[in-house]
Amino acid sequence: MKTILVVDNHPVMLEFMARLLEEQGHEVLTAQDGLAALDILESRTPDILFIDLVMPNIDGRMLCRIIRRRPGLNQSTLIVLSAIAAEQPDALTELDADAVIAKGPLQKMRSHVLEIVDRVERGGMTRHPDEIHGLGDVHARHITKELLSVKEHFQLVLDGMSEGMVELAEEDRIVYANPAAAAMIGRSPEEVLGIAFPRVFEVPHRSAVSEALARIAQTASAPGGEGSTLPDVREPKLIVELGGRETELLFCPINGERAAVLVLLEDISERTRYERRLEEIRRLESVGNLAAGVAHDFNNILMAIQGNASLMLLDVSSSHPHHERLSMIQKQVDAARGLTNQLLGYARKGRYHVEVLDLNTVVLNALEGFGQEREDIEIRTGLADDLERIEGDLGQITQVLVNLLGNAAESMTRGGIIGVSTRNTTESEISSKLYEPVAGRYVMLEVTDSGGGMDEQTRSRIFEPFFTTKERGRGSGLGLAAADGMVKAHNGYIEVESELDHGSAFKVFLPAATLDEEKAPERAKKRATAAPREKRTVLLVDDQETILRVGRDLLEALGYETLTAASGAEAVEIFERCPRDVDLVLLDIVMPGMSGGEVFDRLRAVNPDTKVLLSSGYSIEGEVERILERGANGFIQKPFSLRTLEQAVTSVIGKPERGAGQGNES
Amino acid sequence: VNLDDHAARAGLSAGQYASLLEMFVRATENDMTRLRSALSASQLERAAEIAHHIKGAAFSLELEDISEAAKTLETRARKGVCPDAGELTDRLSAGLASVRRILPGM
Repeated sequence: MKTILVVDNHPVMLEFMARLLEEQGHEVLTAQDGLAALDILESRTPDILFIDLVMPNIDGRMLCRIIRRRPGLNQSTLIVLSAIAAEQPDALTELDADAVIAKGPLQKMRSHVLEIVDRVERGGMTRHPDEIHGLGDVHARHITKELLSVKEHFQLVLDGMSEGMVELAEEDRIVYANPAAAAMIGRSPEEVLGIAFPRVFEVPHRSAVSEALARIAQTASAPGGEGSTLPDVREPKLIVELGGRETELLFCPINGERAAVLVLLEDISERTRYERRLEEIRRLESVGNLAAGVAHDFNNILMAIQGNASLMLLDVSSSHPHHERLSMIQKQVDAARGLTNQLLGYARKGRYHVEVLDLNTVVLNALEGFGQEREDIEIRTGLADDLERIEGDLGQITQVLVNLLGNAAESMTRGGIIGVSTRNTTESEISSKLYEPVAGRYVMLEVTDSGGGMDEQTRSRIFEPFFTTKERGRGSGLGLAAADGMVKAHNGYIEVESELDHGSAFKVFLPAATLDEEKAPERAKKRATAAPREKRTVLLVDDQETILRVGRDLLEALGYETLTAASGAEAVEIFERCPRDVDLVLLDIVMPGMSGGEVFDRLRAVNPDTKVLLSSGYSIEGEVERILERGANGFIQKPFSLRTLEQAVTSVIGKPERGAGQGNES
Repeated sequence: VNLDDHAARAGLSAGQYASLLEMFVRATENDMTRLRSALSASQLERAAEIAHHIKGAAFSLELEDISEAAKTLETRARKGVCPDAGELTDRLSAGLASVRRILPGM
């Protein structure tokens, strides 16, 4: 006696086979679909299995594959009993069945079935997967072939989808899973069949999935919910974790003749990461705008403090008790200016003087003053001899290096080694996945340290402004944020590699220069000094009353006659009245109404030889650069000291004969 | 349909064959309800699958009229055009009624 499982979705076939085989003394188990068959196979191991191919809820082909791969069942005799055998005999070989019987009239099937069972009983069953019993009993029915070819077409589409798709039957059990879904679940398509869908998720996510499916079942059973096969997308998308990846589930209930739900699975980990990053960039951008605004206003305030301190120092001797206090004010203004420069750097502003630079020289100059207070730090350099030039603002590029060196030194509380190297490279070495680097030649600056390194959480936040691992009050948390902003303002990229207890490496990629190296000196030539003469007049243009007052006093202290204008329009009006009387215009570029750039063009239209020195608390999106390109004679950043102002003005129009700067400012 | 002839050809007793026919009738009546519903909703793919289901069992039971009508319906539904669906379902119903008539218990 053999135990025989018959799987067929037509009750007539099940009844016929059961009677036939039971009459022969065999134990017969029956199942109307693949899912029911899998349930039986959980507890029983039949000797022989007869399987139809076209069935709902896990078709016969898939069931054959599962059986062949399941330990304990691979020794059972597997017989395909299907009408398809007549239409697609070639496609049956892959099923790895022991025999195939084409469905036909009952008496023909009877003899084929009994013959095979008899052979199994006698131990004479040899595998002939390509031999089809009963093929002569049926006429080829091409419609079945057509049906299969349509299904195969859809199968190919489903197999090729990057999104996962599963079909759920009763009790939310998986009856179909495409390869993408199986991969997301982490098992083969055969292994996931029959499993209740919520169980493929980790415990914390199961209830959310179960609840969503319960809501769908409730909707489907509601009046009016039947008879439609259109996807019902009223159930919102559910985001859960599957195999460690963030996965979005879209449920499409099919309220047809049997309860079924299609679930689309999409791995959104990358998309979510990108969106979060984008959100972060937007947030940081708004912080950047805020920082730039604050820096601008602060620089104007500092300008007033700096200017007044400078003027007061002119009137006091070095022995005066206020001299030291005034000097201290100036030092503090310098420190505050350093802070606003960092803020501007973070906001990608402050890239004023673009010139062709040798990064190696910048490195060597920066290293000269670095590390003198930290004898426990050894600095090792590896600078490429053939390093290409870059285009940049010397002050900002130096600041990037100083900030990276400072960060490295601070990470090595007990000393260590800082490595600074440069070399030529290309965009291919820029590894970030967050952006597509612009193709081309780059110069790379790498700063490494042997400090404590960073964990992933810290590493992901180090370029945020005001983020610091140091105790409150030590460090502004702006160094790396500013370095990042300055590098980006130079169309460069900055990357960090770090591991806890294994130090860090910051790589800065800056585009190799395309400018003519002689360009910067040409610009300098515009500042050719003029011969001293008795009277020189400066038109000072600024919308801030305080700046106008202190600026006028400073210029007059230096011996220049000064005209003031509180707006661009007023400056143009004054200049048009007496263009030849103005030797220099000291022009603020960030003003309401007529902008600095527009004022510059209007003045030059009146007198093309007008000397213009630009001034600002910060530059709007390269505004300074653009005006300099149009021929402005220089730029002076607020807040500036009396000395800085003197140098800048003198370099353009020379000294007035009366001279100035006779005070005690130091 | 001659019950004895069909039973003899199937190698079954008349009683056994009648029992299978009864099962077929019940299953096919259910299929017919589903088929009409699918056709009225223009769900031809579904209609084709149901016709395929009827056709296979009818063929095994050698119920040629039903098998042929189901086959034609399946072919046309699969092609997406089935103007004579009403006529074909009528043929199926008629075939089913003739089977029912020879079954004493139905």
